Amino acid sequence: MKVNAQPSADSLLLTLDGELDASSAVLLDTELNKPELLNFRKVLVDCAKLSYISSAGLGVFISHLQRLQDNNVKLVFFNMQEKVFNVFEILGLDSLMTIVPTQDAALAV
Amino acid sequence: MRNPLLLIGFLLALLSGGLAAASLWGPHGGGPPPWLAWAALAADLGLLAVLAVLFFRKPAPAAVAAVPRRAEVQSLQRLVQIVQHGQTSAEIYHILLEAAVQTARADAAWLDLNPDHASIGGADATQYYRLAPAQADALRAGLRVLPLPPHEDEFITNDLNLHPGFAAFPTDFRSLMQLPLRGPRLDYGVLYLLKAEPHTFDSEDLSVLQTFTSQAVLSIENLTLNAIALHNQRTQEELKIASEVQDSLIPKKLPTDDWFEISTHSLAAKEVGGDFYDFLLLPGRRLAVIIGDVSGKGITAAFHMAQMKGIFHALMQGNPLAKNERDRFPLPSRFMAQANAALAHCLERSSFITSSLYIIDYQQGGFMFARAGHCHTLYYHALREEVFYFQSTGLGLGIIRNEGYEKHINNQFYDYGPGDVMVIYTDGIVEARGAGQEEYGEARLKQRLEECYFQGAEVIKQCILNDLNSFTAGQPIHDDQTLLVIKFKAVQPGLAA
Repeated sequence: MKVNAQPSADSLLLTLDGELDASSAVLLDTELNKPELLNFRKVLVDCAKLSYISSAGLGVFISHLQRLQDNNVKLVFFNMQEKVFNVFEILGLDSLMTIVPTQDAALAV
Repeated sequence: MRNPLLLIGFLLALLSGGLAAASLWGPHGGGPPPWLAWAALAADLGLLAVLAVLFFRKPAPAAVAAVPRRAEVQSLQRLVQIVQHGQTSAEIYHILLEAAVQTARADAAWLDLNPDHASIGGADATQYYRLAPAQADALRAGLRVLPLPPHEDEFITNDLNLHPGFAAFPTDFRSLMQLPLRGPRLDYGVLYLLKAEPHTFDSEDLSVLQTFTSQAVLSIENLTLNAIALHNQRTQEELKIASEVQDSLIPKKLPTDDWFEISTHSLAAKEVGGDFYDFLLLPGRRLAVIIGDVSGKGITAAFHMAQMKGIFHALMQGNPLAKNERDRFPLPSRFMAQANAALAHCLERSSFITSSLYIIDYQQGGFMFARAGHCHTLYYHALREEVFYFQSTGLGLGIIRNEGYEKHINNQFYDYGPGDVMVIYTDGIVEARGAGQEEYGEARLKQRLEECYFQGAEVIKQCILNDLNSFTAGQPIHDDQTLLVIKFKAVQPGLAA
């Protein structure tokens, strides 16, 4: 699992590559824990290469959800593979998080 | 002082010689051939001769020689003591210090222990023998000036006062022997022996005491290993107890009535797991069924699983103040909202629980359920001869921890008919992996039910499990698995029953 963070003017682009499980969740948590994250208006998560997400992986996003919302930072997922989207959907997270098909749609949010 | 190792060799040679002789003259059963025993005896006599020469090389006056030899035997006994009687590392260090002082007939000594290790067994960081801590401090300061590497090596100095470190402050102790306690991973400390007279320690003393220090280190290492083994064993036993306790939380006696049958399966990936299910028969011939899955595995998940079971039983006890029988029990969505509020205080921020609650009503011929982020329910509709997954929305528990949760959960109603089948499970079933790491999946589960819906609940469960087990053959199970099959009997008894 690789996590790449690329800041731009008002958003931070996180690119996830590989399987997000209990061991790699720590990497992502470190990234989302950074205080400067709250300076952005949006955090865009590119899931094109995210092949699997475990409950520990979901737990990382869930644990940061409230903090991001409280600071008016939008969490937007895009390019999500169907298998991964199903996991978000079954848990009901699609009603809480913004999941859009493409990067253009994500930038437009 | 004589080398006691020589004495051991002597004794060993005598003993083995005796054994060789015994095998030669004793009855010949299945023992070694006599020529071997002869050869052994000959070699042994040779060894005896060599040892005897070494031992009596410098004949000393009889009166003087008797004392050191008794001392040697005593030092051997002390060595054995280190091995046998040290129950704690503090005791071992104490025995080592005493044994070394007596064997080397030192006037004073101290033992500096590695502070990283000294705490094990409650040993003090420094142990003294007829020496004040201030004296040891002065000696340590003087030794630091020595050109020799101070801690890594054994060494003997014949006269400390000839060394630059002691030029300004001459010491009462002229001879010093330094012996490090070296372990394979850790240096345990350094032993210093002192004598008032110069030129009193020799290399023989050093080699004897080295056997003492290495024996002490070995004993300490054994103690540490024993402690670790004991700790592991305790943890294993505690886990076994946890596993038994958790097993007792899983219902063994399934509810029975003449309008349904139930079959269950549960398997934890570790000793304890985070899956759970439970049943309660409610008044009015209603059946409450709950299933859940705590995120994560092992002990943490098991605690929350137990908690969820408690929440289920507490909320399903019924509210005695309710105006009528129907209102006594919370609707599934209300139940989930209350459970969510209860869990909000104790679930760690990154954990969540998925759950579904079904209340099946025989009098109404239907059921109501709420799905809180849990796997979709698989259903066989007998009248339409169709197998499908219920599509409903609902958020997992512990994700939103405020009043807002209730907006994300709702009830779904469904009328069941005779012969219908409900398959309720956790993701450990559909996400079980095969040899190529592919998942078992919802589609394959659906196919199985399409093949065996007409069977009884037990046979349907077995049919699914057999297929799952052949799919995952040889793969370790990495998530807890739970499977419940509820079959509404083909002939539903009359309501008056």
